[in-house]
Amino acid sequence: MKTLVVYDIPDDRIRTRVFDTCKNYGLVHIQYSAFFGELNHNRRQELQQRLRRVLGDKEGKVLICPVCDKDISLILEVAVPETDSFSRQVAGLQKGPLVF
Amino acid sequence: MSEIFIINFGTTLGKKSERLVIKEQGKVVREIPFRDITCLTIASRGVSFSSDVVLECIQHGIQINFLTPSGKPYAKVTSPQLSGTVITRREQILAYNDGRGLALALAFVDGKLRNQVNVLKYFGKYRRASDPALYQELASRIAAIEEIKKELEGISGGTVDEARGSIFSIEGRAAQAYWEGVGLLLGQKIEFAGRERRGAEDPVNSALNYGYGILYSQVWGAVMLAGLEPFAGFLHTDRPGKPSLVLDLTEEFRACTVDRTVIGMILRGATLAQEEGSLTEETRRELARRVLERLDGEENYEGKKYRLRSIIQRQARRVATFLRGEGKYRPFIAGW
Repeated sequence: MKTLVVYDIPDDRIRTRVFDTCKNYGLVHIQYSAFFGELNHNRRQELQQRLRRVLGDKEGKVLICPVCDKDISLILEVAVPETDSFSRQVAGLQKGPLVF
Repeated sequence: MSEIFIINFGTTLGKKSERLVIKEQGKVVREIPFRDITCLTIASRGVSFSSDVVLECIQHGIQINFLTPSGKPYAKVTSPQLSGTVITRREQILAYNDGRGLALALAFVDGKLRNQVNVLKYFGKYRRASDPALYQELASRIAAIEEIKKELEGISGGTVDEARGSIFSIEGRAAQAYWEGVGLLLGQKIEFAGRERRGAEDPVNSALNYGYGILYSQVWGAVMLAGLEPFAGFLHTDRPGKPSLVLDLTEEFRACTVDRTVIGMILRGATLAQEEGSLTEETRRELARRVLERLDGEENYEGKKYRLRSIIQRQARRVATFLRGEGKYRPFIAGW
């Protein structure tokens, strides 16, 4: 299921590690502290445990939020200056053979 | 889940955290989490990567295949633990001298011929109305293969060694009819004088050989994961360095995976560009992409839909199960 991950972490080092962990799960960096991508139930829980360990007893907050396809189609966006739109970034997520 | 295929000369692969980093000319082109990779294939020269990448791949169960630029597999990196299942291997060696070996050999050829028929039927069905003359020609080739296939039923008892002559005769005559049929299909689009196995320089044969190279690596991986010995086959003879079991199991997948893809590609107007007798990088890239996509395509298997890639794995496990006397072996037949 498509999943939105957002976080608030003051410590730079920990934040970088959270950033890296999200990338390791194949999520796309859509905003400063927001990632988006396809995660199944298991992966979501795995990610939660990983992030819990990364955070340890440091201050911080992470939200892992599944979003259904119907709601995704209703997403609106305002961006100045014009950047790569959310839907375009997310379109790059599809899996399949990759030839380089 | 995706399969990574490297064709570009001089690509560098690195590891960053738990991601594979692909660099071309020092610039990062893509980062892919190892957990999303099923298989890594390197089909170019001058690709470099470190032992860290190998370790990470093996830990994630990713096999690394190496192909020459013409598509011939020359190396494979897998975990040394994969040969841990001894019972299967003991039975596999013993099976050569009893009825199990013959039964498997017959099943592989049966699967091969039925899949060849289905490829002709697949391309024939759209031409029934649009090109009745061609359809008739194809139908006669199909009938010929089906007639030849009946001879398989006459072979029983003894070992595969005793029957090999008659099996190869059946396979050879069916192949003749099949490639004639393919030639008729391709006739208007491209010149195809017939199938040549090694050292072919014409575009169609080169494309087929390239596709078979990719398929071999897949089947080889499946055979190893099933705990089988790749070099001890039944239909193909023993020869040092010849992965005869891999070649055996590949027979039932050639037509439905590679032939269908290559023929379809040509019929839809793709050009197979060549340079000094071998396919250009662009053509190889396109071929690889299509064959890999085909492997991700779904087919009916045991009453459910599975990706072709998984079916290959399941068939390899079936061979192992059959050799241990725990079940039957039936070849996989693709739909048309």
